[in-house]
Amino acid sequence: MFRKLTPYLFLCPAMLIIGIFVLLPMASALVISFSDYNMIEAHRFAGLDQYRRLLKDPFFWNALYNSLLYLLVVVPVLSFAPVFLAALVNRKLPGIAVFRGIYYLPVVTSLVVTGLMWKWVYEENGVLNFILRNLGLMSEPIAWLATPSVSLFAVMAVTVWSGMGFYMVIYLAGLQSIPKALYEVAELQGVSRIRQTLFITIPMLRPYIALVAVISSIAAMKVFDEVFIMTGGGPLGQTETLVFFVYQNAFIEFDMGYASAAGMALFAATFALSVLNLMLARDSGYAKR
Amino acid sequence: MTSISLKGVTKIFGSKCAVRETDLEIESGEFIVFVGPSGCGKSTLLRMISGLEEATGGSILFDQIDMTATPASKRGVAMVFQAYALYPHMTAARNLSFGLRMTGHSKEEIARRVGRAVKILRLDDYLNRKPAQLSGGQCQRVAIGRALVQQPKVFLFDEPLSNLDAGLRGSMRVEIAALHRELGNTMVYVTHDQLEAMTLADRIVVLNDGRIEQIGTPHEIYHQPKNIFVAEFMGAPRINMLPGVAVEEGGLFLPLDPEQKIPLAAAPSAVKAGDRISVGIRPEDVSGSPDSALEMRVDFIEQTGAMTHYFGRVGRHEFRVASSEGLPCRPGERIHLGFAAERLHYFDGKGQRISPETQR
Repeated sequence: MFRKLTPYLFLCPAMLIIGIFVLLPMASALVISFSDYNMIEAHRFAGLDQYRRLLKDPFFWNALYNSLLYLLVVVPVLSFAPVFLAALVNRKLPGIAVFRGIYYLPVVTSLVVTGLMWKWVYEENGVLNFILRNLGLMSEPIAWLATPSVSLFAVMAVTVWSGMGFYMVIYLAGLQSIPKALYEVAELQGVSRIRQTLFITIPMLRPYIALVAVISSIAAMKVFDEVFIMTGGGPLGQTETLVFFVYQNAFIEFDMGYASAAGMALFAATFALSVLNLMLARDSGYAKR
Repeated sequence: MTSISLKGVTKIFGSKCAVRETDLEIESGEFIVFVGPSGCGKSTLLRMISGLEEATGGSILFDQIDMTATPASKRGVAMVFQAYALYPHMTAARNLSFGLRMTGHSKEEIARRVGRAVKILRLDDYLNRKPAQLSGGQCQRVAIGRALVQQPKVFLFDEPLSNLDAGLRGSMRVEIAALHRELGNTMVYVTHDQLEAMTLADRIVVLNDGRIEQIGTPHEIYHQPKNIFVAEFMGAPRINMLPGVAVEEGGLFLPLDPEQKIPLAAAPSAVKAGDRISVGIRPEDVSGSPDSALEMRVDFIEQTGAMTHYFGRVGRHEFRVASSEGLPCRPGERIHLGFAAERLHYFDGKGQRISPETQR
């Protein structure tokens, strides 16, 4: 009897923490999303009113659009660019561990620090403008974060920059799991390096690419820190993402019911994406390895 | 058909010398087996022949043409690896044709070559399966097929059977031997399994610590080992090695302890009284002999089916006997053993064989 309970007892502490800090808030957010709670007055049941408001709110659609754009740009970049970075540091060169460390540094740096740093880089008299102008690539400096057409992409670049090292490590593990003999066979057959990469490395990395796609799309849907620190959602809401929209409505407007409804929409979108990703990932793994 | 010459080939990894100034002539069409303990340099030597490993010194010639600086892809060699090295994301058929497809061969040519390999190795049944769905033996057959379609001048095998279970190893061994008979190509084969070496090789190269200890036919290696290392490395159970100083007591003897001495009736004339020598006797050359002075205490007995192995001690020396008929003894008992005088191998104080051409 007691023996049967043992595994569950071991799971208890973790389940308790997840329950209190994840599941319970999720459930209460769901409840609040059906009310017009504003943190001062008591809950009042509002049915689907908040969801109806969402559908009619151009700011919500703008935030959703920005988040999806984020996803469409950042996920492919973060799924493929780190492969090359990983290939670069997967060589047996003296001091290569130092390079791996350097590339990983942005990952362990707080996004607050990263955000502030890039904010300076992007300023009108910042380093980026200085370099581009000195290279003769442009005549007038651009206020990267204040120009509506480029601001979102400027923020994306920071997300990519700070995530690159993390995905590089995943790919590095993937690359190192490929037996050297596979390349040696190809070498003996006279298969060029480029073809070895295309027909051996990339296919062998497919399970890892699928994993990175899942993780990075969830991360892309949850982007907040960069936006909060660098642009505050501006200019003109151009960098306002779903999470930022939720934050604005919850903690600036104190419109908790509305924010919760938006949070639920975000949850649904992320959940759907993850399921889709996992299905694709399952198809891509080569049969029972 | 290609002959291979190694002249002073050396490989140094960092501060470790893996292969030391090795000279070797491999004849065209020959099946050569490199054998030796782990880390003896046999795989390194093979990889230098393939071009996957660069030689630190010396030169490698194919048909008297220097290939030392020629890249692996231009040497015309194909290699079969221990872990198969099949592409897991490709079917067996794709694995076979991959190299040819990537190097611009025509469809007809690819189909012809793959078809031939499939026929020789009987791969038809699993062409559409991926490596994960194949057994180890099937994987290795596909890997051999992949080497075959390259139509190499030289086949290189790097412990190809080590990952297979004993039964499969036996049948694959027969297949590789048959393949060599059929193709007649030069083949270089690395193994640590002496049974593979003995059964497959035209000539065996025994390596130890980066050096060639002996080159010879399986018969020579087994029956005329050049030194104690080769004698002990080849043969299972291991050869019995009895060291001592020869004495003259109305005939030459090797005393083992106060009670026992081995008569050296057929010793080479070079062996004199007072010489520090070792005599070797293969376990299967020893048999039960009630009148003999040689007495062994049996510690344990191992049944292998065809043979029974007896392990124990003669005096203070470990001793092994292999017998097909069985000896009348049980563990803990003593038994008298005999052997034919001409079956003894003689080694000098440095462990080198004392050649028996002049017998007393």
